[in-house]
Amino acid sequence: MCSLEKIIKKCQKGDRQAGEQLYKMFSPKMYAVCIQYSNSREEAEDNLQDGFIKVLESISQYTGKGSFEGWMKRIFINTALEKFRKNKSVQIVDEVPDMVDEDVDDEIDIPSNVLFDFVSQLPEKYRLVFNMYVVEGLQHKDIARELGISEGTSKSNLARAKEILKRKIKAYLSDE
Amino acid sequence: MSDNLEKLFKKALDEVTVEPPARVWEGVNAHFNRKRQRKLFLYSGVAAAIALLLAISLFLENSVSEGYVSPTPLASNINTIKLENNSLVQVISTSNRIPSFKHSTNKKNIKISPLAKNQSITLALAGNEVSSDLMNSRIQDLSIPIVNGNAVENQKKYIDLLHLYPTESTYAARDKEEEKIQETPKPQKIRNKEKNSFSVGGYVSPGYTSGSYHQSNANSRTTQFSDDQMSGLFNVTGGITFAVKPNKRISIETGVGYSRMGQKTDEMQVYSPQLAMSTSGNTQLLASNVQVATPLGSVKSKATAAVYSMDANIALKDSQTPEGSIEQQFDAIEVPLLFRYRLNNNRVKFSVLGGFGASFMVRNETYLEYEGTRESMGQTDDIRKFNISTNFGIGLEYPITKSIHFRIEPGFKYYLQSLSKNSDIEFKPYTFTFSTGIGINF
Repeated sequence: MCSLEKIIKKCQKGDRQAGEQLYKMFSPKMYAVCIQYSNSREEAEDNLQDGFIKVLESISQYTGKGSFEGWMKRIFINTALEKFRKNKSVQIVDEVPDMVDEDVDDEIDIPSNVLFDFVSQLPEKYRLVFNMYVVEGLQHKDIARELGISEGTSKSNLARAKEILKRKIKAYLSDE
Repeated sequence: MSDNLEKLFKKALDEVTVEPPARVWEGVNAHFNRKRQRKLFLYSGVAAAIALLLAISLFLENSVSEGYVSPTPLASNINTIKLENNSLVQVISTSNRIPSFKHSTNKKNIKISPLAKNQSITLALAGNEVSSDLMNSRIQDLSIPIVNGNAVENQKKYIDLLHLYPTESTYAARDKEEEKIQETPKPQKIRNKEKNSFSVGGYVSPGYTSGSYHQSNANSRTTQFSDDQMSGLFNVTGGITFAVKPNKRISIETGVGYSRMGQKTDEMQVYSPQLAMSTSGNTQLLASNVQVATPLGSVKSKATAAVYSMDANIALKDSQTPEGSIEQQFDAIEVPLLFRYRLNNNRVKFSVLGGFGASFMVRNETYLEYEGTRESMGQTDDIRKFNISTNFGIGLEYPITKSIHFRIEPGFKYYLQSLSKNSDIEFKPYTFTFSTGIGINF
């Protein structure tokens, strides 16, 4: 197996086999990202396909600075967000809900795929903000800009998302 | 605080992988196959066009060859020579070279009959009469068929066969004949004499302009604008040309032309002041003079409405019209330097041309279009004032009068540098043109 650097260089020269190798290496991870930024599996597949085409078409612009996976992930997220922005209806600023401000136990043992499903089942506006804030580490002002919403909406959506997830965790633990 | 919750989910979401269905890769593969096929069709089309041009030029070239005629008749000089034995030999000569016939050096095998007057050389050579007939002294006033540039030499050979040795007077007559042959002008091609060494012309060129676009991934807005959003512009340009013709085939051309480059970006979200007030209830108008991100760089917009796309720099309130577009136009004065090679020299001339063009930017304007409104936004920042392009084309010239001709020239122009000086943006314009014009030869 070639190193990632060699595969990238081959892809930059238009080597189709290297493109397939790159796909095999990253598609499971990127598909998971696409699922979190899409409303259905079909949409996630479309985003994975469109995103990977963009990756191969613009790979010559990757200069080797920074993480390749991060660079690639950004393309998939942007691909999904483009669709979100195109289809987005007028957003109404949500009121920040009344919540019990309590954290979850840091020793909770829930499989990753279950937690993954919890997030993917969130409504779109909560799911996007949650992923961008928690997983990507973006600030609310950046999220607001990316999604075309206000910072207040971003904050309230994050709070809603956390509230729903906490309930899901509680329900899951009580069922066990 | 919910730090534990965030950590818990971040770790889980970073870890999880999901195997995608095989059809996703098949879709990626199909996309690149289609792209490769399109390229193949394009190259095949170009190759076919070149092959067609070459075939036409070869065909026309051959037509020119058929048009070559000799200014002298095949056999123009007829002289009668009296030989030593009082035989009269009529010599027919020509300056045109025809293949000399070969014969065996063995005289016994030679079977050549003299020709009666008005009989053709072919018949003479094909005759089966024995050479002894030629020895007959009764042969008088017969024509000896000599019809090519080697007439005198052939005649001598012929006489040798007859054992007739020429006298001094015969040689004198033959020398005279040779002089005549030398004086006979060489055959010339009948062609339209092109004494013109200079021509001027004007052209009008409807065209389609777009560009190859790449945006650097150095920032987070890698995919801010997608190819799907962008399209080219149709326009009409024109100019005047000057050409110098060092020879009939080649001309070196320059001139001054006005050209337009640019592109249109669709699917932009437009925020109009009216809508902003009505939906949000907020009386704050969206300010103009904001820096708007466009594919070709930032524009300080003077439009009353604001526009935003993808990861644009400006964050606006929640009111927008569904869609609008940005049209970015860049006009330039161009000075080309082109080399034209004419593939044929017939009445209708085909040519190929290629060269370079120096382009001086004179206008830079961005328009915003939404809901039937077209507003000027202003100038795009960091646009290069000078650029170099490569030009290719094929031409067809048709003479209207002796010195005026009509031209049709499909062409392609590609700019070698990005229109934007911004290192994150690469937009190299290209233009397909269909130039029609008039040229006057001097």
